[in-house]
Amino acid sequence: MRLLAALAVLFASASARAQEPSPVDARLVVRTQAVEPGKPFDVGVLLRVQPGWHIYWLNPGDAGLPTSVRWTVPEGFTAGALHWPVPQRFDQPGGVLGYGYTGAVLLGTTVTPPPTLAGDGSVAVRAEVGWLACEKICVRGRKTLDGTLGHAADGATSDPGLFTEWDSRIPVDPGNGDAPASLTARGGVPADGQAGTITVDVDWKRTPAAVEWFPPDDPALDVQAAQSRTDGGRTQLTFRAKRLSGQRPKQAVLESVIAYTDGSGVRRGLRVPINLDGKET
Amino acid sequence: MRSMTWAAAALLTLATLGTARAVAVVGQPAPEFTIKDQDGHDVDLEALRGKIVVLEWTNPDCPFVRRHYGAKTMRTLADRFKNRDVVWLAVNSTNYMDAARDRAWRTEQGFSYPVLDDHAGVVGTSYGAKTTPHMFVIDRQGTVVYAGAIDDDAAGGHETTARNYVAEALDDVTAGKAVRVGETKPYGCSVKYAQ
Repeated sequence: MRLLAALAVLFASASARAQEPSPVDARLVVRTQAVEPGKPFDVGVLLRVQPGWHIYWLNPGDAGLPTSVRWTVPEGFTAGALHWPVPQRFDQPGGVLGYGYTGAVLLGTTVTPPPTLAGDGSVAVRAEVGWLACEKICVRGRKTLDGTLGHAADGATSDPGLFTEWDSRIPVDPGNGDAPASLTARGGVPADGQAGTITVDVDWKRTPAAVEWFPPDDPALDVQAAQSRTDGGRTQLTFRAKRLSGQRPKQAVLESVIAYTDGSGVRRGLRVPINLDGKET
Repeated sequence: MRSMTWAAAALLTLATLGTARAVAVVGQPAPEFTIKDQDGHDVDLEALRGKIVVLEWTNPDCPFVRRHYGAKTMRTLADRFKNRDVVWLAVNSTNYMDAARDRAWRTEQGFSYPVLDDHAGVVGTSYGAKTTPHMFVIDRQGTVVYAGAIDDDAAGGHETTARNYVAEALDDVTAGKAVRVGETKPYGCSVKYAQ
């Protein structure tokens, strides 16, 4: 009996160590499984996050870690940058801001095949995914996902409806004909480390609700005191920024995002590029 | 004359109130505190004037902290500067932890610097500590000379080539030089203040 009790304790403690929560599920998805020479196709990682937990955007905010996807595609193919859907904002105790996702997020990319396809036309794709999931505590996770498209499709679920749904959550370029708003920006950030103020006027075609601004991540730039005010058809966004410790920001143009709710209650995004040295974008 | 003095006194009071909500700012005096360590001993920042003080916000449940403690990042640095007038203080502002937890963490990890029991979040709030780890270096005059990340490797995996900003700041301060990088963006889990 004593031996059984000892074994029970051994198993219990082993499973307790293995009990670190695993709140994120990741799987490979594709818009369609067909691959044609030279014709770009979309692949993505669908991350599903348990209730109460969140994972992070490209800019995680004051704390956290951006979700990462590293794509491996065959020779001659190129995978583009990740399409980051519009994030949510988390206001954590102590004034610690977070930007990220709850529920689910599709992180997709467009892959361009070469002008001719070799072999039997099957295309192997690998996604190495990493994340930090937080609730009361934080847990890091990673997963390697392999799939094949084209002739011998396998391992990647084809779901065009899913991609269409998430297409609408990718921030739209303000230069596009169907962009929901036009932008003008003024102000700039001095090179000497002093704080500068930047103001962006967003003129909407149709007045949206729940407008929120998301700054980009730049380790050399400290962005503070962002305020946005929406009055009728215009949102005025103002923020202060300074260069940290003589470091040069990695970009001259700030790639920020405005999230808004459209007339149908759908959450959408607008790219808001801002030139740091005050030039017109 | 009397009304002018009164006005001046009023302005001074307003100015003091304006700065009463202390946040650690590089180039400014470090916010004062007196708080108990894991063994219940008072640790008073003002009493350490004349030494170089490192404050390390920590949380044993945070994967970023666990990675650094697995690599002995903080302990190695604390040991290296121990005999050069540098006092290393870990601060645990995690609301659901206590001094007993801090004692256990210290024993488990085998380091000898104190862990200040800030589960009420008072010191964390006064410094504006946002992440674990979040590092501050205070010079002998009590001025904050570095605030931010421990290094430039948030995701990990570049341990051998990572740039350790706290090591650089301590090298500079102990050599009597200006700190070459005074401020960086900290990384880590959010400090788990109470709701």
